[in-house]
Order: sequence, then C-alpha cells, then structure tokens
Amino acid sequence: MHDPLTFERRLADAYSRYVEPARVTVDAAAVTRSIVERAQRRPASRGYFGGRASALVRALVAVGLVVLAIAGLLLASGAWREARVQNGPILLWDGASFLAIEMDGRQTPIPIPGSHDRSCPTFAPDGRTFAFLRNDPGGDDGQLAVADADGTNVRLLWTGRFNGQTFHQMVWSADGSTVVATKALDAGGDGIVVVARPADGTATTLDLPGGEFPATIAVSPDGRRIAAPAAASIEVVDVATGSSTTLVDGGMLAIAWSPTNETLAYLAGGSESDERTVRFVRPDGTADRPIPVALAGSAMAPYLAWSRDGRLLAVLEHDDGIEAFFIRLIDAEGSVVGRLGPFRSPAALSFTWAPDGHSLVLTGAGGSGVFDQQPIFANLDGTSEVLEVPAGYYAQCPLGWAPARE
Amino acid sequence: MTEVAIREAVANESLVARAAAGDEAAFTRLVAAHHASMARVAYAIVGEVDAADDSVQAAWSVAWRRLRDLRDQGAVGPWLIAIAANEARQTVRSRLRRPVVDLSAVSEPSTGGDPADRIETVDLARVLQRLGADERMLLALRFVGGLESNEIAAHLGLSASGVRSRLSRLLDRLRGELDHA
Repeated sequence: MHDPLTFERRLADAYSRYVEPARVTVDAAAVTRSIVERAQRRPASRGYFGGRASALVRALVAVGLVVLAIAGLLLASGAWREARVQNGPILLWDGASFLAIEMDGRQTPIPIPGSHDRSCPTFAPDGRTFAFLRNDPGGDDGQLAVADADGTNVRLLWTGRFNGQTFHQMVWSADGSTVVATKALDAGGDGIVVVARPADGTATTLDLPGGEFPATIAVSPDGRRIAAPAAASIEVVDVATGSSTTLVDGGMLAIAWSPTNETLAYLAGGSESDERTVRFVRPDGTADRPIPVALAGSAMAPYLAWSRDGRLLAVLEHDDGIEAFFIRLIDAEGSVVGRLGPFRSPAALSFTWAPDGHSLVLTGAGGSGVFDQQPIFANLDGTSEVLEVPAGYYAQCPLGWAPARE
Repeated sequence: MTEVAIREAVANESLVARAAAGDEAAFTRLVAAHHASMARVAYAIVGEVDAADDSVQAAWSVAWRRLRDLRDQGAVGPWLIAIAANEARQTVRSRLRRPVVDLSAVSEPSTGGDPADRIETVDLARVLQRLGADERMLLALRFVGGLESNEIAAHLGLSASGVRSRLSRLLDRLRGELDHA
C-alpha cells in the first residue's frame, strides 16, 4: 500500500527536476515590447462601416489577400483541417433532457421545453443541430425531431410508430443534409427506417429489400442513397425512388460509407459465425476485395467508422481471451496502419470519430448492464480516457461528435 | 492574512489594474514576476524548451488582451499559469497526429517494488509521453504550478470535486505506470 501523500510529494519532487531545463529567465521589457508592438499592428476595430469607404476597401483587399495566402499555405501543407477543426461535445440523455459534455468533462445542459420522453440525440456533422427521438408521454406514436445545438428551434420531422426500448440507430450523411433513423419495433421482428431532410422539413419511410430489419446501415455522403443488408446480399437503395440494386452478394455485419464517396467498407460474415472479413467495395459494386487483417475474437463488436476526411477506417474488434476491445486502423488504400487498445469493457454500444480525426469515442457498457455506460475516448497517440457519465444519463445511441463552436 | 501579505496583495492588484489599463511598465513587472512559473508549467506539458517558450509568449499576448477581463486581480498568478498551460496544451494537441503504434505489441515487464521508492529515478518524461494533453495540463497545474483544486476548477470550468476525482484517478494511473516502469 503506497502512502498517497508520500507519492504526491515525490511526484512533485520529480516534476521539479523534470522542469529544470525550462528557460525561466527572461528579458521582461523585451517581452512587453514584443507583445505591445504586435498588438499595435492589429487594426483597431471601427465597426463594419465606421471608417471611410476607401480605407474599408483597402482593408478588405488586404484581408482577402492575407486570407488567400494563409489558405494557400495551409492547403499546401495539409494543415488546413488541423488548423480549423477542434473537438466539441457529444450528447448524453436522461430520458427527458440532454447534456452536452466535452472530452475534458465540461458539461452544458441542453434544456428543451415540453414533457416528451426524449432519447438518442445525435449531432449533425457541423454540430449546429442535433436529431433526436421523442414520444408523447403515454402515447404509442414516436417522433423524429431536430433542434439547434442549444436546444432551441425544435422542428418535428416525422411522426409514426417508433417507440419501445429496442435497438435504434441515428446516422447523418456526411454533408449534413440527411438524417436516417432506424428502430426495431420489437425484439426480433419488423423495424422502420425514416429518412429525413431537416433543411426542407421532409421525411419518408423506406422499405428495404429482403424484409429484414437492418441492424446496420450506411448513408451516402450526399444522403441520396442508403446501403443496407438484405437476406443474402447488400443492397443500395435510392432514397428518392425507393429502387434498389445489389451491391454485393453475401451477408454482412456492419457497413460504413466513405465520406469521399469512393469506398464502402463492410464487415462480411454472418451472425451465426465468428468468421469476419473487412472488405472494400466501390459504391457501384466494382472492385470488391478483402482487406488482409485478421480480427481477434468474436463478432460481438460489429462496428466500422470512417474518419471525416475519409483517410482512416476504424474497425472495432473484441478479444474474447482478455475480454477487451481493440481498434484496428486501416487507411483508404486498405493497408492496416495501427491498432489501439486494449479497452476493457464487457460490451460496445456505439463508435464514432472525433471531428479532428485524432480520437474516437467508443461507448462501452459496464458490468451491470447496458445502461451502465462508459464512453471511452481513444486517441491516436495511444492514450485513452474514460468519460465519467453523470448519474442518470445514457450514451447509448450512436454518438455524433460536434466540432467546437468558434 | 498578515499585514505584510495584505499590503502585497493590494500592491499586486494595483499593478494588475495599471497593466490592464495599458501601463507597459506595470506589465513588464508582471512578466518579470510570473514568467518563470509559467515557463515551468508549459515545459511540464510540452516537454521541449522552445515549444514551452512559444507557449508562454502566446500566453503573454493573451494576457495583454484579456487582463482587463480578470475579475479577481489578486489571483493573477494562477490565471497566468492557467493561460500558459492552455497554450501548451494546444501545442501538444496540434502535434497529436503521429504515426500510430500497435500498443498491444508493447509489453513492459514489471520489476516489482514500491513505485514510491523509484519515482526519484524514474524517467518522468517517458511516463508523461503516455498521457494526453489534458492530463499533462492537470498534473502540471497541480504539481508544477502549485494550484489548488478550486483554482484549477475555476480555470477549467470544472467543479473542484471533479478536479479532485480526476487527479485521484490520474495519480492511481501513474502509480500503475510506475509499477511497470
């Protein structure tokens, strides 16, 4: 047993030696001069139309040139995405209200007026809105709605039979135009697929070929097509017409549509078998090929997720021997580039990438059941952290992860 | 608080007020008084002298712009340290995209023994490399900056109890790391 106080003292001592190389002497006057000069070079704010027109035009031209130059440099260096995108919150829910929670634990309640039962809030890719499910108290009908990120401007998109504590998904298209919600209406039977376009407030239900409820679904980047499993094939359904074409023959456990629209990744296999293969296929059904990666364990973690830039595919796998999850990382060409883990959790409920492409969040389920949930942030630098979910809140649905708001 | 301490606090607040009003001499005195502690905290997070210098320089720019917004001018020290820590954290995060390694292939045999006895010789840098930017910042604010849980909480937007529980978990993890160091 270690004495905590002794440990902390010794840690502080170790730190004091560790920081010795830091430059602690400074020409304070020079620092001040540098700061003040830099501040003085910043143009004073006059409001949009506070200055003379010619000065305004000159300023706009100058700013435009600077922006173009910086954008050019960033694009050339590939740093544009890293410079612009920061991670914001994910959404948790407690059955009535929502809670935005950041990776570092900061919390912002999202109040929504009314007394509906609400669940499954999922941010749109730009984080400005989120979709969620709701039920009238005591009613059988369910509803799909969207709201602005702060909980205001709630818009009802669809009403129908959509209730019950059964499996559901919420998937946004990469362009944010379309949200697809699926829900099983009973434990092993029929389900429903709702395709909604929040911008024009329209929604439609979709009959998928094969008559089976899809346990997994993928949406094309423009929201116009959906890939889903049929009885013995993977079908691509045109949302506008409802017509379907067979992508590939065979069963699959999970599917993810690349944001670049170049590749559909899927986990081939059957629910009765532990044989699983990651495969890539083009959206037109050509170039179907296996990816040479041997996945550990069983099929209890059928999740795939593309990073938002389409450069990396994350494949969740479960090592039954040590009862832990791992994340395989595969690049867009199909090369296995890394493995993260282990992440110890009895089950996995959802899996998504951070907007900055440096982290993923895996919602694990604790030992006491699926409602004992633990979002685990897995970072590409090999670190990870378990998010402490406030009492009474759930992270059960697919977690849309919003970018930080400027 | 002793009379001397009260006088110092009043003088400090006066200095901050003058610096916030644009008094460069007052700002220079703030730089002289607080730069070293900010540099140590930044270094503890980024682990490189030049990057730590850049972080502190950026922190002073932020301080020059935001000093007038500081509500408790008597707490300028922790405020400056927190700004430097945040800048250093951003530096670490911007460097996050590195080649992915197969962590499962890394095995580290335990040598046993009490880590409290080995922490004096352990390569702290290597242990810190395993931590994320937020974790490094939390440890640096506490063990290098000397901030209390309530001060850290105020600057990170967390509750003091939340900071304590995070620190506790982090220390448990460090003990585990040192068990395998």
